[in-house]
Amino acid sequence: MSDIIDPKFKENVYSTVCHGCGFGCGVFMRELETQAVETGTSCGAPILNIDYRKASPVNQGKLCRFGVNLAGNYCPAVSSVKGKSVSTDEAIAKTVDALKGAKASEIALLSVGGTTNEEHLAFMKIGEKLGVPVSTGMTGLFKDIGKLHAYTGRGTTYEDVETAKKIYLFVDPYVSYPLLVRRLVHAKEKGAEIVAFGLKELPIATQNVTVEPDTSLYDVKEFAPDADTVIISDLTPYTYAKRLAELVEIAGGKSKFLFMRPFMNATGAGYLSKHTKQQSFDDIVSKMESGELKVLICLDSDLIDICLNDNMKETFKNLENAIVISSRDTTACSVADVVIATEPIYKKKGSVMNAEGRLIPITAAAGDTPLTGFYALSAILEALGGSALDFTGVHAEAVQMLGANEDEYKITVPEKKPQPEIKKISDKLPDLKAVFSDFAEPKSFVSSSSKADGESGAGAVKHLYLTNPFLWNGVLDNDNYIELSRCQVKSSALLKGFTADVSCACGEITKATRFKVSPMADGYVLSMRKQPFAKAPITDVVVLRSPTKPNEPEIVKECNVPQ
Amino acid sequence: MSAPENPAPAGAPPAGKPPEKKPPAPSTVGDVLKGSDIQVGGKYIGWSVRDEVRKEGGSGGLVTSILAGALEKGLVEHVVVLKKSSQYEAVPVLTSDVEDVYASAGSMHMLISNPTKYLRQFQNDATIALAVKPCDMRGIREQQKRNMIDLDKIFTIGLNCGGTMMPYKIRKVTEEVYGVNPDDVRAEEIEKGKLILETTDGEHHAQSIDELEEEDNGRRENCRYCVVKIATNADLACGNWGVMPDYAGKGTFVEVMTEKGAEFLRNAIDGGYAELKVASEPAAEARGKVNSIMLKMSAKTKEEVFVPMQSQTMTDLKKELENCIGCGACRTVCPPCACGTEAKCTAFNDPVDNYDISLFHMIRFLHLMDSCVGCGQCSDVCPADIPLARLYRKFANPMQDELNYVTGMDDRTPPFFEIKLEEVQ
Ligand code: SF4
Repeated sequence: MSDIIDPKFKENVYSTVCHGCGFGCGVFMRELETQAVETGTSCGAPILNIDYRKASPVNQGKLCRFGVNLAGNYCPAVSSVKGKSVSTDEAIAKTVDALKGAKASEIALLSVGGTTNEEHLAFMKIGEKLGVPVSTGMTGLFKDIGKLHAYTGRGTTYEDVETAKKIYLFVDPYVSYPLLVRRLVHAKEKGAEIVAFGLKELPIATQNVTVEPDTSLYDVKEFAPDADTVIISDLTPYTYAKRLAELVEIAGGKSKFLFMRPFMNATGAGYLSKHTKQQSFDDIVSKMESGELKVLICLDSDLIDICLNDNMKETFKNLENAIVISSRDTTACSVADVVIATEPIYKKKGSVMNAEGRLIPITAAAGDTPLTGFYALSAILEALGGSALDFTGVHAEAVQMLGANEDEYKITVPEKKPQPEIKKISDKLPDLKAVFSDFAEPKSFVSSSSKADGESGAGAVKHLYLTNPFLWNGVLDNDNYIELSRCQVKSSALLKGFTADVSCACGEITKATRFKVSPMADGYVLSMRKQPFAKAPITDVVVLRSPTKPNEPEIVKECNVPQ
Repeated sequence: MSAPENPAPAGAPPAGKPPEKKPPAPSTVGDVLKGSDIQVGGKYIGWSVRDEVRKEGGSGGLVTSILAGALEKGLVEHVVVLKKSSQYEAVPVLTSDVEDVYASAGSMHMLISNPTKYLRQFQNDATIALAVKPCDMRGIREQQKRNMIDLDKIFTIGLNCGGTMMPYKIRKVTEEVYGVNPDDVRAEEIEKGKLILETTDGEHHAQSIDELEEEDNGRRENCRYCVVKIATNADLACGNWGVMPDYAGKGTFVEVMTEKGAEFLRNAIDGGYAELKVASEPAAEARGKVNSIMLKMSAKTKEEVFVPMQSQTMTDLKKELENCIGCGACRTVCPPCACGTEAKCTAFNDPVDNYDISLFHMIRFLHLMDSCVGCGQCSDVCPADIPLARLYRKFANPMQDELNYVTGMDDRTPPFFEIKLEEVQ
């Protein structure tokens, strides 16, 4: 007989995948239940800590800044209707009512890949019942590039990067997909030539080539891909179709592509929804703006966080029913009419597919958990007249649809159909100005605080986002600054110790912004955090020195402070 | 399966085999001991009284028995066990269920847990028993010196350690070097300087550790130059070094390092969990001999790694650090780091600064000079694969060698704590 009466702690450990981006990093999540220690969390969650999954074939235990702080980003969502907390069943009932009360044309379903393949497929079954496809947010891009889409598939592994002779980078790995860095380090050690095409010089590159966002790759002589080249770029809702088309036109059929994705299961969701007629982000947003859309259901996809335009919060109010099915308390939960709270990602069971096309199982390392997310979707389907879903069956169906290997140490790519002939279409695609409405020739609109300088047109630059896991997930980091070149600092009359005021044509001015001098092209300013003055991927702004001294540094409030 | 037992040293003479042909000396002298016979400083050979634990545990299951006894008799509220999900992967989990202790994983050279930071989350609010490697215990002691871990609340069983391996790497080596399906591996052992994998068909597959390490496929680099192989800094120092053929695979050598260690051992005997006998002189000598061989090998590697680094310039150092992505993982996992959110390395490091070399790292190099335990956790988790452990040791070695200060081995005050401002002035 044990003398133990009341153990103070109970610990569960889950083997999961970081939800920060589509890299697919393996991680253990520890959940400590206790009455003994004050959790110090603002959201009443148990104490969470990550542990490093050193056997993961993707990251071997290593994590980026987002992953290291993953435990702090798990504020659980709370089921609610019109802001009032309710039981999950009530939230489900309200969702069903909303769906029954709307025509198919008034409903949109969005799942960008923020959850497992199994939940995505269950969501698709609801879509089938309603006659509404589940959108992944990438349709607009793929429609633009037409048959070239076939070249953006999976199958290039991170190990292929390590053994490549030549690597062309169209992403900033340090910021956007940090776990790529070590793969590039290994490639460089083995003698790879690494060419970075973009605005910022990267230390990992053996050659940095300045390529502005609207430069045609046909005009870049350094871009000479061959059979030994691995091209690393990414597919996001903001990918510029013309650039993507040029990449494929020039390199398709001879080089390997590794397309990174910003959302945990964007690859899996993309493949599962491949043959459905989806709505693009733009379609959904404009239907929301016009009031045509009455019900939007977002499955672990926070449209407000993903959207660079922070007016999206207001746009949500045009919906009769904004419904969020979410494993975390994100921005959209605060404005949704209905929130169906599901178990956190680390407690989910099933699989996700990373950018390589690797199917990664998510399994609780200790103890089973109820699959509230999956069964909430099943309950909605049943209430709409469908049959209840069986997890094992849906899992098997997802694996089969993905044509994937269930062993995370092996990547199986379904046999490739003959690739379509590459026809040049990029010259017919709209250019940057037409794609991003805020993109225009520099104007000398001015910051009220710096009229004198502004009148001379100084400080006019283009603002670009350096997308990263914090930005996509609406999580604040210590990245509240803009980056510009030394020359740009001069022309904006910035001084060390002072801050900058940034203004845009829409009239938004952000005062006292910190800045960093980076080795990068003149005429641009970059930021990693969503900025009020930049509502599109590329925006004209004016950067000028703030007349006042900087404020105290901002303190980032965390939900759950990891050890 | 038993609790984690001691890994045998790479390159060391095999446990239980004497160097000469004369009949091997016995491991023990005298009869089975009573609890009251156990003394601090005593050296014993012990084993579990439970058949199934003896069978499952590679070295007689002594460690499992001590942990189970401590939990069942209420000496501690919790035990940290290893939950094994494959031959290559296990994760430490807290339990109060003795069945979990009996069921926990066996010897795993590829398990590199970080109990120091793990223990911090309990805020000294529970009594916990756990098995540790020497470097784990060094981290725990450094935290204790900084008032973050209360040694009165924990009980530690130190395990001899000849080195650990990275789980993913060894999985790959299994496939590519051994030509064996990694999922077919049932057990692994280090013997006669070879890493031996036993597959489900009963076959043994061996490769020389030296050869594996030439290709960087063996032990983690920091393990190869580690200076503590027997965890004499824990309450009990256990392992199979010194176990002679009569007890090979059936007994564990244990040295009692603290009064608490003696108490837990007495509890295991009196509670009917374990039996012990006094270790013979030749057994103790054999243990010392293995240890000194291991230490000589470490000293050699230390020279090979660090002598060339003496000519490293600031430019070289800058180059080493240029791919840092600022994730902070190295600090998060660092066992002696006790600074929390007030850390100088982060407070003085501003991402908008453009210093030629990261202040974060410069402060940490300085800060770790008197506290780095050489565990290699920083290198393990670095997403840019910066050889951080090597860089920290480059700065720590000269200071720790000069002051003859081995971090985390005793209660000695860290050298930086002893500096008096007036002396500096
Ligand atoms: S955010 Fe992406 S790169 Fe960073 S730890 Fe998570 S999955 Fe890995």
